[in-house]
Amino acid sequence: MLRYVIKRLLLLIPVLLGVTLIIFTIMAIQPGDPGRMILGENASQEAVEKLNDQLGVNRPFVVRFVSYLYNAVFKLDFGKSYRTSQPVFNDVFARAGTSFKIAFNGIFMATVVGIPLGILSAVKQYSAVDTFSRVTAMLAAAIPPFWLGMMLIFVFALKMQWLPSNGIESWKSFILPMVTLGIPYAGSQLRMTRSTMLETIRQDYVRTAKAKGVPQGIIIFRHALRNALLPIITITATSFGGLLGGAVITESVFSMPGLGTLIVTGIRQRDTPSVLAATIFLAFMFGVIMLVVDLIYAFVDPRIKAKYSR
Amino acid sequence: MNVMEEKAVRVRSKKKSKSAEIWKRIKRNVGAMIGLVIIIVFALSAIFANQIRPEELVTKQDVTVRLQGPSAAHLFGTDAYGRDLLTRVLYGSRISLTIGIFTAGFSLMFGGLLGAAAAYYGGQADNIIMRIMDMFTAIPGTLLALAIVAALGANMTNLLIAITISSIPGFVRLIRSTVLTVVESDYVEAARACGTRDGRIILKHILPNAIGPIIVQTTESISGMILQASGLSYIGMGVQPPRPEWGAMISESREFMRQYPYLMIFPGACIILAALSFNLVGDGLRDALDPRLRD
Amino acid sequence: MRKILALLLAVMVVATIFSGCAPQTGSNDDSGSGSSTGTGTGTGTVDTAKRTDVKIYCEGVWSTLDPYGTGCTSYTNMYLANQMYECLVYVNDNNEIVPVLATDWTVSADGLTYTFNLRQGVKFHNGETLKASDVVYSFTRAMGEASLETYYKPIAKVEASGDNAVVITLKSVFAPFVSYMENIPIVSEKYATANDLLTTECGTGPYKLVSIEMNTECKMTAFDDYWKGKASIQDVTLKVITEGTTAVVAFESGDIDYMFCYSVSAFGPLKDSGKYNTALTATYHTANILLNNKVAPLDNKLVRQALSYATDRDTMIAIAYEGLAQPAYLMANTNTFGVSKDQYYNHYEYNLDKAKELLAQAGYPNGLDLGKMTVISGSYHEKYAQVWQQSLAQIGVKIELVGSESCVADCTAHNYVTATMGNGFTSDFAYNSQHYTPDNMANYDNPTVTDLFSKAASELDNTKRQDYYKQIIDIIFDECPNIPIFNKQIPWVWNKNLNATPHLNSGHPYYVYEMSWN
Repeated sequence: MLRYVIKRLLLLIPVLLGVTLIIFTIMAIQPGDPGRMILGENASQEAVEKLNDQLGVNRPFVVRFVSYLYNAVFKLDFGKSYRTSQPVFNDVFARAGTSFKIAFNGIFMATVVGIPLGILSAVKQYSAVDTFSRVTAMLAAAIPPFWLGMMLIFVFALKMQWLPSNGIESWKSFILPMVTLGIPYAGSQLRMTRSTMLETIRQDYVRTAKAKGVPQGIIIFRHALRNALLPIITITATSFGGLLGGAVITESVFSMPGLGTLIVTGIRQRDTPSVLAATIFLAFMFGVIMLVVDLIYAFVDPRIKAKYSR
Repeated sequence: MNVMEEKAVRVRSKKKSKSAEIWKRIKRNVGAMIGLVIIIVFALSAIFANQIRPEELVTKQDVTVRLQGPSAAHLFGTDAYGRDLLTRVLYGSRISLTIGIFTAGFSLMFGGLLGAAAAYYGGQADNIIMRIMDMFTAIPGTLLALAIVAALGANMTNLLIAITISSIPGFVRLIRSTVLTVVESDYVEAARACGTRDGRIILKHILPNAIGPIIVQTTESISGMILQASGLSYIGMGVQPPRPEWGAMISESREFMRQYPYLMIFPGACIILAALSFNLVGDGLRDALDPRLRD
Repeated sequence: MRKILALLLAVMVVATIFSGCAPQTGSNDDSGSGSSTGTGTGTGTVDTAKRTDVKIYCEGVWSTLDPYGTGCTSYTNMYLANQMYECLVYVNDNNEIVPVLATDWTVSADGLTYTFNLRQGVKFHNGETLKASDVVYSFTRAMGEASLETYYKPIAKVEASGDNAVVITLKSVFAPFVSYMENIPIVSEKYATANDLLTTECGTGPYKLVSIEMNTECKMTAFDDYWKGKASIQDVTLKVITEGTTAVVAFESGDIDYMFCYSVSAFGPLKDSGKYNTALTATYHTANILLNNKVAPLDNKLVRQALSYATDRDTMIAIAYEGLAQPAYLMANTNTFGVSKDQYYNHYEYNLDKAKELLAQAGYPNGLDLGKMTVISGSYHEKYAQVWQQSLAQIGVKIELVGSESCVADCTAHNYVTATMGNGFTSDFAYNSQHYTPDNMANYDNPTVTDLFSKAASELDNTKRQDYYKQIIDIIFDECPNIPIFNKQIPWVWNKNLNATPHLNSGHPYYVYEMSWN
């Protein structure tokens, strides 16, 4: 088992390398130079050139890439942000907590709302409840999060003044973002749960149980749900991983300083070290989450556990 | 008619009735029909926009009538520049539908090729392709698209490219798993055992059975792409002004949302309707193509 | 099933713990009025006792506290530095130089040596007393920072003369030199050599740093030993809200007491409601359209003049800035020494026919295609660019708007045809030489103008200087190297019970020291 975990962690390395190369290439294609972005329009061209040289941005691509990798891997030095002149991971770790909270809350709400409704929908297929849930789910998934966020701010923060519209001060600040992300994802969770449940319900063992006269409740919770749970967990975990960085638009609407905003600002200001650090962090987290999911699979399904232990 | 001809007729009508059967099932699904109607309405307004409202109204500014609510002269009101909102929303359908359909199409094409290659050749090729796709998947889609747009410059073409690239890994995975499932199924094995040629197997067995889930996923991904495009335009990394993209219009309306909420509601409603309609149709297709529903 | 539930429970517990461990940013500041639940009514009368704290809005995140480091000239960073650091002098809204850390100064006859006498008994936040060596140290540090270059460029050397005087020698005569000194903050040498200034500070200003979370909030408290006397307001909190509309919501719900109304369209309703104090201050900032003077057909003066005639400033101001700006005809206005009132009028009143005529004269009777216009994305620049695009369309000139994050870099590298830009100016036209002498953003090169500017810079007699600038301005109006559009005004809103004075200078817009509660 331990060997499997280590193997998976090792496999992460090429992925991280690949991610680094992709982002490095994209940032290199981008026109404009960080020196000018930092110093503004009043600085002289020589000063800008000097800063660019200091930052090392004029060296050829391969040199920069290799030197970055060398520093990152052997000295664990990911460089300093061009914008703040501080080690990049300071900002990454400062913002990671916010991103985690936003993503977790969103998925939490999506799961709490979506899964039970999905199960209900599957069990009562073709009924009014089913149709209603499905349509609502599709509607929810079609709402653009930025629009929903703005409308929620308008109603709850402005008109009713119940909730704060920005920042990360108190737990209340996280409610509106949670709903903004939760509703579209609840829609997907619902549909996904429903279809997975439908698949499981049609399996032979369920039919057998029904034939044996086992009460429906037990069938659903003991048999069907248990097996449907695994793909649901995968999708949920994947969505969580994706939301860590993908909630950038929600972060911007609610002015919450998360990793998404860091990356966007970094891209805008040609702050390559920050963008790289944040993306690598996200990719690493994503890989870890997927590993955890697979471990849960193994924990739950002894067949898979055997496979991994070989 | 002799026995052979009778058989031929029966075979032909059976084939015809398969697609007719699918269409019949879709028709029964109210949601899917509504979705289809909405898509057709959007498509028609996109194609015939010039006939409905002249194109110059999209950018025609008139400071004297700016920020007016819906009225007889301007059914959806006017925006901050005094431009007619109805016209802009109408032409916006062109942009959104184009982006949605082209990105889905290209992603399917490139993703499909890669996924099919991975599934078909297997082994090392499969490994390499999937590892590379893992690298792209590890970067959140929106951020990847954003970075690409920032690198290439913000305009509609680059937005298309960016969203396509960030969607390809998903399609690769889909095609690959669909093809794999079908390839390993019993009837393909049987066909192989009978000695049928590879090409015939692909055409007669793999494709028809794989195509169902692929169509469903592609249709539903269109709505995701419309949302992504409008999101990127919302933060300014997409279609450039003064082009009337719905997300960009919502972004412009941000500062006026308190006194002039209609500026945000009309484009928002269009995005929702467009995305929803593709979801409905996709859902209807899934149910219609589901072989298990036959019993 | 139980196994799954147990596992899920474990995951949830871990996640909750994780979220709880993430850095909190003062979630215990629900004390005091205006709590973050937004229950305030925005009139600030929630408490019966007089308030001693104030919450101020900041429109962007901070990147550094170092007044001599990267990013020190960014406005948001300056808002903080303004409260904690001071300079030798300060230029007030009437363009008068006010002594701050320097009490008086003398200039040598040749205009090259300035002697500043320092104020006695000024304390730094670490208890040290201000000495000349601190000033020398601060200047040395400042002169190593490229973004401050404009301010120290004329300086040849800085020396202490005893403990209470500093002698600054210039490379050449530079009349506005003393006013430039308001941009070099003074830090305690003892502190700065032992600590990093990125996240800590040690100035002489009325407020000390308590805590800072670069992306969200900064807290300061009044410095007891401030040389002018302790501040009226004890605690200051600056909050970052990057979304303009959200900031307005926060202000109305009492979360913010003093705000620069970034979302300009919200100003009107806030003002009309009568519930708040409001003010519109002029700025030393010009939004303008850059024309690349070395790219055809913009190298033709007639074409540039035609484009000037096609510029509808009134509509641009109405749409881009909700009417809260003044039309600008030069890169500076009558607040600047060197710009006379009789010269400052619109030499190119909006007239599409005249524009078409000039274009025909220049050889383009059927209009022309000017390609891409680089626009600073996501700002009011985008808006007036769209208005300009419409006006140009009516005279047959076609441009395509392209939003760019690197607009400033592109313009400095002359990598554009037309572009939008915003530039600051000062109370002296000498500062504007950067727009008209070689290697300026507009790629404009006129030897006569360059010569006049250098003559003016080395001239100490203000009447003669004025005359040089008048000549320059006449040429500029004729040549139209760029098209100034407007001087934006900053809309300020603040709590009805708070006394505050917004200032003209965009880099020093407010001083909490001057604020007090009723």
